Amino acid sequence: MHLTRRRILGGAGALVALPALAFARPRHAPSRPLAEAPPRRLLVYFLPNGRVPANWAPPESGPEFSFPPALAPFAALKADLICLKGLVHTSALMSTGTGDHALGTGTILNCWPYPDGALHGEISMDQALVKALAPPTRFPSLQWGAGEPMACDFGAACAYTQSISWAGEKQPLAPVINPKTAFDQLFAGADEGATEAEKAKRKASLKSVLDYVQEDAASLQIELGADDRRKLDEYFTAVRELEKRLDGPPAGACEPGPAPAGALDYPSRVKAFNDLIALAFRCDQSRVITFMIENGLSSRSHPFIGAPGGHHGLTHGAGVDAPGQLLKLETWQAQQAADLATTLKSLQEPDGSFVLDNTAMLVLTDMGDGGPHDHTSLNQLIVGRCGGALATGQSIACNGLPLGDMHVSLLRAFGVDTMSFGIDGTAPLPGVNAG
Amino acid sequence: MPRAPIDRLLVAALLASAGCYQGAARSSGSDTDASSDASASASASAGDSDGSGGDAPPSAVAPEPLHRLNRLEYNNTVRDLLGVTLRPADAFPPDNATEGFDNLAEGLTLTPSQMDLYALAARELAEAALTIVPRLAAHVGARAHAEASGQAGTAFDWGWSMPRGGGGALNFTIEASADEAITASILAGGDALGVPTPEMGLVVDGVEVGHWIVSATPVEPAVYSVALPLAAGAHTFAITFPNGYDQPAENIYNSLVVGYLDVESEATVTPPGRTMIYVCDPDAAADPALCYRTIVTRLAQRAWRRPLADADADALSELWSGLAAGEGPEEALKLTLRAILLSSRFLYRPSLPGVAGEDTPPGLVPLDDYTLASRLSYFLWSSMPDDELFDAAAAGLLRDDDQLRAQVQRMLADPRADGLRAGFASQWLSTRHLALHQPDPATFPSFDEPLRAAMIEESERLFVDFLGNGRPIGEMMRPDFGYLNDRLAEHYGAAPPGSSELVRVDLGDDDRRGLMLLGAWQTATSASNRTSPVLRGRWILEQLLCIAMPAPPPDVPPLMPPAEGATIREVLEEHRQNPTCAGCHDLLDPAGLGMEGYDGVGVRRELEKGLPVDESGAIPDGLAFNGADELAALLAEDPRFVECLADKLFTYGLGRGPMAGDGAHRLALHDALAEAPASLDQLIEMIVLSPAFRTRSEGEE
Repeated sequence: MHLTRRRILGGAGALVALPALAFARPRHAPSRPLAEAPPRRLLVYFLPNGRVPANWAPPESGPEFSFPPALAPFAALKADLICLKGLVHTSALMSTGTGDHALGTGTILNCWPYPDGALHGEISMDQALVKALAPPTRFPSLQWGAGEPMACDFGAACAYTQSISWAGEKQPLAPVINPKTAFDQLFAGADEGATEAEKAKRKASLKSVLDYVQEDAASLQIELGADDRRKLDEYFTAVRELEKRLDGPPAGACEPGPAPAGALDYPSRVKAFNDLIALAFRCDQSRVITFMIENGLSSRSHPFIGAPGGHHGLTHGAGVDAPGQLLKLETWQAQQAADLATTLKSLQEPDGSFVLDNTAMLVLTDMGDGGPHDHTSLNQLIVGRCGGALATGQSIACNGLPLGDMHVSLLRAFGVDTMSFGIDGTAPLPGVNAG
Repeated sequence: MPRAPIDRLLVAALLASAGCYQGAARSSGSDTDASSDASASASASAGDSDGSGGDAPPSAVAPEPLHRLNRLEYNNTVRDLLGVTLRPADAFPPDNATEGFDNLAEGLTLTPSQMDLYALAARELAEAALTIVPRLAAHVGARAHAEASGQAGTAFDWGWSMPRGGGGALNFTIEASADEAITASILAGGDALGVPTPEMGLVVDGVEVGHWIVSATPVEPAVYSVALPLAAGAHTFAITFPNGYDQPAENIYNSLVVGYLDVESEATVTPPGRTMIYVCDPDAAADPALCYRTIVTRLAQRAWRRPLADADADALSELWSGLAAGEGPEEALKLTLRAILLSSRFLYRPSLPGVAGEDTPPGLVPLDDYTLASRLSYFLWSSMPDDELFDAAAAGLLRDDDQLRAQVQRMLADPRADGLRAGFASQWLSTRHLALHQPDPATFPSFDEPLRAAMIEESERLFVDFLGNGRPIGEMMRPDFGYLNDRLAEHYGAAPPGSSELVRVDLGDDDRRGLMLLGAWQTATSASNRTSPVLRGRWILEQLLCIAMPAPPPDVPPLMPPAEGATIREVLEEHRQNPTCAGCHDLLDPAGLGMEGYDGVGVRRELEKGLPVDESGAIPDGLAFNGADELAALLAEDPRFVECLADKLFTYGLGRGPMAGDGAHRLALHDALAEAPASLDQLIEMIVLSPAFRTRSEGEE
C-alpha cells in the first residue's frame, strides 16, 4: 500500500496542526536595526548516522550539567550552548518512503514526511528563514559539504542522503563539496586591476546578458508543458539570484587570502570548509549556511584517528571494538564543530561583540542512536546566543517533544513570528528562547 | 499550552508495512500505475500474459520531462561544441541520482548555487574557446617565486628587493617547447641616494641580453622589455643588479625592486573552438555585423541543438550588437557566448512534439526530429549531436527505422560512445563508487591507486567490448576474454600479461573471468575492512536481477558483536534469527554469502579466520549455487539478467524513471529478447526503435 502525502496529512490531522508555510514578516528586521547591531547568522553543522546517546547527551538537565565523552570538545563553550535531549523526529516516523537514513537525513531540516523514494521534500528551516528575512547579502544562503556521493539508501533518491537544505518541494539544494569551488563561488569574478569605470561597464554588460537569458527563457516557457514550466521556475529564481551578485566580491576590507587547494584529503577538506564558513561570515557574504560534514548513511573510514571501520558499519556494531572506534569518530566530528565555534567566538564584530554571540549554530544529527535507527529520541546542540535571543548555558530534557518545535524556536530567535514548522512544530521548545 | 508528546502508537499505526520481495509470482499482477511500475518490472520475467499486447490498446507514453544536463553531459557538450579540454562540471555539486542513475530528469533540479557555477564556467569557457594566446607565455611573480625558491634578497610590498650592494641574481627557469621569438618584460623600480641610478640586467643562459638604467621608482615602477630568440628547451633567466651599492655608514645606497618576469612568444595559438565559431571572417566581410550575426546564430543553433526561429536569431543579434557598442565586437562575442551557455535552451533539453505520421499510434505524437537527435546523442554519447546527426534530423531521416539503426551503429562506433561507458557502465558496474571507496590500509595493505585504476578500467572495458563484439549479452557472465595488466593479474593471482597497460587477454574455464568476478564491484560493495555479504547481495539483486529491496524496517536491532573468531556468515545467521530481519535478509544474505570466496578487495581466498570459506549461496527464487563461478553460470542462463540490463538501459536511455505506460514497451522488449539472444548493440537498437523512445503523448496539458 502506498500512502500519498494527502493521506498522511489526513491521517495526521488529528495529531498535529498543519503548518503554515508562508511566514509572517519578521517583527523587526535584523538587517536594519536602529543602532548598527551586527547581523544574526544561522549555521547548521550536520553530523550523520545518529549519535550514541550516552556519549552525546548530558545526563543532567538545567544550568549545571556535565559533558559526556563525545561532547567533551564543547566543554569550554558551556556558557554558549544549549543541549536539547530527547526530541522526536516525527517526519521520519511518519514517512512511508524508504530508507531509515534517507528518512532521517532527508527530513531533518524540513520535518516533512515523504510518501515514497521519489523526489518530494519541502522547504527546510534555513530556507524558510531566508524567505522570511530576505538577507541583503550577496548569497542569501550557502550549502556546503565534505562528503562525496557514495551508495544511497534503499530505494530512495540520493538527494535524501546528500542534501538537508530544500528550497521547496522537489528542490533539494545540493551542497558544493570542493572547498576550492566554494571559494571561487564567493570570490571569483573580481576584475583585478579594473578601474571603477571598467567595472561599471562590465556590470552593465553582464546585466544585459542576464536580461537576455531571462527573456529567452520566457519565450521557451511558452513552448513547454505545465510540468516543464514549473521546472523552469527554478531557472528564473537562480538567474535572479545571479543578478544580485553582479556587484562582485567585496574589495579591500575583506581580504579573503589564498584559495584552498583543489584536491585535499578528507580532514583537510573539513578544515578548509570550517575556514570558509568563518570567512563567509566575517566578510558578510552570507548569513545562512548549512554544512554537512558527511552525507547521511556515510561509510567513511577515519584511519587518521584510529577509526578505520566505515562509519555506518560501526553504528551497527560491525568490526573490532566498534563502540571504541565510534567514540573516536564522534569525538573527532564534535571537535571539528567545536573548533569552528571557537573560531567564531574569536572573531570580533564592529560593535565589540563576537560573531558567535550573534550566531545560532545548530549541531544537527539525523537520529538518536544510529544502531537501531532511532527516530524517537534525538539529541541536538545549539551553540551561540543569536544576538541574545537564545538562553544558552543549559541542558534541556525535551522528553518526546517534536523536532519541529526546535526549528520553531530557532526561527523565532531570528525574529520570525511563527508558531509552526513542518509537520510537527507547533510551538517553541520551552526554555530555549530568551526573555 | 500544555502539550502531550507525539503518541507513538498512533504514529506506528501510520507506518505502512514495507513488505519484502515475495517471489516472481506475487508481483506479476496487473498494477499499471506509475508507482508500482518499478516493482512490476523487477519481476516481469514471469510471463505477464496480459501486459504484452493482445487486443489491449497501445499504451500511451508518459509526458516527457525537461532534462537538465548533468555533469558528464555538460563536460562532453562543451568539449564538442567549443573544442575545449576544460571540464568545468567536475567542480559542480554531485548530481542527484534516482533509480541508480544520475541522468534522470526528475532528479536534475537546478539550484542558485549551481547557477553560480554555470556562470563561472561560462566565463572560463568563453575565454578558452575564443582567446588567441601566445604559444609560450609565462608570468612569474618575483616575490612569491623568490620566497618559494629561497633566493637572496628581501620581500617588498609589490615585489622582491634585490640583495643590497648588488652581486646577487634572481633566477628563473623558462621552458620552450619550440624555437620561439619572445619578448621578456620585467616590472621594476629603484631608489638611489647619492650614488648612480640602479641598473638592471637580464642574463639568459649566462649571456646578458638586456641592460637598463632603472629610473622608475618603487612608487611608480615601469616595465622594461627586450626581444630575443629562444631555442626549444629549458633556459635560465637571471635578473641582476650590477651596480648595487650599500654604504650605511655614509648613508649612501641604491636599491632595485622587481615585480615580475613575463615572457611571451610572438607565435600564437588559435584555440580550435575559435575556428569552429568563426564561420565567416568579419574583417574580410563586406558587412561585418552580418557576419557576426551568422556567427552567433550558428553557434546558438549548435549549442541549443536545433535551428533558431527568426525572432530568436534577431534577439541574439541584438544582444551582440548592444554589447559590441560598449565592449567592441570580439569582447561582445565572448559575452554573447556566455549568454548562450547560460541560456535555458543550452542547460535544458526540452522534448518538443513533432508531427504525427501515418503509422503513429493514436494518442501519441512523434518527438520532433531535433528532440530525437538529442535524445539519441545524449543516450549514446552523453553529448550533443554532431553535424551528421543534425543533418539527418533536418532531412527527416530519423523517422525511418533503417536510418535510425544506421545512426545507432555509426554512433556506437564513434569514440564519443565513451559517454555510454562513463555515464552508464560506471554506474551500473559501480566503478564510480570504487573511485571513492576507501579500503582500510591496515586490513588491505595491497590496495593502492594503480590497482584501483586497473579495476575500474577492467570493468568498464568489459562493458565496452560487448558494445562492439556482437556476442549475446549472457556471455558477459562467462566471456572467453578479459582485461588485465600486471598489477591486476598479481592481485588476482593470475598470469601477468607483461604489460602495465590493460590488455585484452584470452581466458578459459579455469581463469578468473566475467562480470561476477570483477574486482571493482566486489570491492565497492565491501566495508572498509571486511566483506559485506549484505551489500553484495543487494548489488546482485538490484543491479543484475532488478529486484528492488525495501529498506530495513524501523528499529533495526544491532548486529551482535561477533564472538571471537566468528565468520560474517555466522554473524548474519544469528541476525536472521530475528523474524523482522529475516524477511529481506533471507533473500539478500544468501546471494552475497555465495561471494565469500573473495575478500574485501576482491582477492580469492580459501580461508576466513582459519576456516575453509563456505561459498554456498542462493538467488531468488530458490536457485542455489556454490561460489561465484556457479552463480555466473546460473545468471548466464537466467532471462532476468538480460531483461534487467534491458530495463536499466531503457531507463538510462529515456532519461527518466519508469512511468505509467512504459510497461507494455518494456515487456515487448523482454519478449523480443526471449525470442533470440541479442548483443548489447542490438539491445540498444531495440530501445531506440521502441515507441517509448520516439514518441510522447499528445495533449499532456
